[in-house]
Amino acid sequence: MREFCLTEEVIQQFVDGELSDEKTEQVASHLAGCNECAELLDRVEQESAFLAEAFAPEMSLPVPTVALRERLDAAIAAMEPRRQVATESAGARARNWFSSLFASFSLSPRTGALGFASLFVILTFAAIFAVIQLRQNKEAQTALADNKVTQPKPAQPVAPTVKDNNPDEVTPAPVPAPSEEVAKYNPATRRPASKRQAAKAESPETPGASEPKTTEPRLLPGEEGYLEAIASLTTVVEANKNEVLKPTVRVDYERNLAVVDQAIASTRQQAKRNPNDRDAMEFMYTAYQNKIDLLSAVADQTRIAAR
Amino acid sequence: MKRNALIIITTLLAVLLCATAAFAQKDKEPKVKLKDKEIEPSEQMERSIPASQNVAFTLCLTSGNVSVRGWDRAEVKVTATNVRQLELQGGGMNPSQRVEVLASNGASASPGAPLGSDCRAVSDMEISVPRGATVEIRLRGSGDVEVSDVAEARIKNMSGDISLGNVARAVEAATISGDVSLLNSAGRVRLSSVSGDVDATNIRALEPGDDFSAVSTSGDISLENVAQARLDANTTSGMITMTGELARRGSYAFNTFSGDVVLNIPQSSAFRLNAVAPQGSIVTDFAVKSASEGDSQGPAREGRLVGTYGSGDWSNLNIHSFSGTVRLQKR
Repeated sequence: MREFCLTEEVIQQFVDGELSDEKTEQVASHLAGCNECAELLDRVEQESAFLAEAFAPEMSLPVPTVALRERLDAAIAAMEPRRQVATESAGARARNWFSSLFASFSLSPRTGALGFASLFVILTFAAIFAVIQLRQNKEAQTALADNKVTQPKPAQPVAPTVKDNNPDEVTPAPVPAPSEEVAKYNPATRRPASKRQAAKAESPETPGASEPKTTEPRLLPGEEGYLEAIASLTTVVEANKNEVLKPTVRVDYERNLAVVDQAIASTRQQAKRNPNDRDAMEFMYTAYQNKIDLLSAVADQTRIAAR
Repeated sequence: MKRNALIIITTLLAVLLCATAAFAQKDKEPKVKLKDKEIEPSEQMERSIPASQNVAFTLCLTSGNVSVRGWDRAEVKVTATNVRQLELQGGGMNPSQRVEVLASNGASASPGAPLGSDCRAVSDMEISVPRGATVEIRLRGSGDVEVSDVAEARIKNMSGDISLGNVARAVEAATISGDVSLLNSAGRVRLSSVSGDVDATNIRALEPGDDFSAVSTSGDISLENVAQARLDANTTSGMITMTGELARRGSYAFNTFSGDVVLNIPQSSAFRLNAVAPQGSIVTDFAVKSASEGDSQGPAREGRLVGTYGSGDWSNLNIHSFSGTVRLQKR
């Protein structure tokens, strides 16, 4: 049982990606071990997904780029003093004009009533006209869309589709696909990696774990290649996971990573105690392969999602 | 004073009369209908295109629930919700041998501009394809996918369940956070989920080389009547259950770190067993003839049991569970 639970505000910020990297890691770590917070995260994410779907048409409209917005802001800022002066002079002129206009009217009650009645009639007619026009436009659009829907698609072959043909669209950098060699690693055929490379991706207790390491433990036979493959895949996943993985999926990923790291740590300990035990080594290799499978699956999905 | 009031009332009455007449006129106009149902343009859209029996069908979305069914018509039909643009891009001969769905939630930037296959749309879709179709669906985000009565299916999504049924030739399904289930299908099978369960029932091989693979990190794997001669089930913390007959001279590998492995197989089975559970236990209903110790039934010693059972064409059973229990039960 945890001592505290995350607030909905913090979870919402986590879902929206508004937390710092350090805070994000803390929240993800907490979520992995707290069922109540995981349920709250699920609810918040469902609400976000509902809103995202509801506003999908509006969100897909093209918006000005950051550069364009900055240029517009700069131009507006440059015009601000002049516009203020112009506003003042225009305001003064308008006040004078209205004063002279009202001064020229000295209405009797009867004339006033007539005037207001006429004004009311004009405004009412204008409103009715506007409503009718609005309805006509809406129905015309519906008819147009209806024709589109019922019109059969021509059967002729069409040229292949141009992929990603929207130049205005800002997409994340593409993720390199995990190679077949990495995904299906075979320790017997793997070229040995340097100690330094291997140590980058290992810890004293769990060589396959993701945390940064300071010491170089003695590696068991066949481990180096696995560690190299894991380091490579981890780089791919870590580079994109915050952008492309949903928070619940990210938590799932972290939790499962912990599961395989635990398996690696346990089997490695067993293998270390009995270096000549083939079964122990096999269990360790299987645990490493499971981690590679997990990372490959997530890396593959991040590649699809980053398109 | 009375005269003023009269003028105002008359004017108001005239306005009301005009407004009533205007609305009555509009109500007389026919309403726009789509197949006897009024539909907002963004609510639902339908497209269809003639397609060959073995059409390669592809769809990529950001998220949404997708349902694909095979039918006897040489046509692909797509019904999508919440999209403003929907196209079926045909390719190859006439009828189309390749069909790709292009959809967008936004209006077209310019009239006649082609839709890109950028996987940005969010939509629920119901799709009908010829039974011989190869269906490829990718979801960048979340959504449930159901596919049935097709030749091949290749499905990938980030989160959401994948349900497949009556796939005739080959299946590949992968999700990170969701369950995968396959029913009444044949051919080469690859099923994987990171945190979800994997279930397969009534699966047969089409050719001798067809194999079956099920992988999950923390989910359970449940197999029933899977007839492929090469079967591989692998999970880290989940449980593996297999019920059904063993294929003659089949090769089976079951691996789990902390879960149990339970095989419910007929008494008439013949197999060569290599079961290892160093920190768990091995329990068998079968009198396995151990190479070193003679017949062995009940808990195995030192977490390892190697031997044979039955006669004839043995299947190879390789079962590894680091800290779970391995159980061989008679059906």
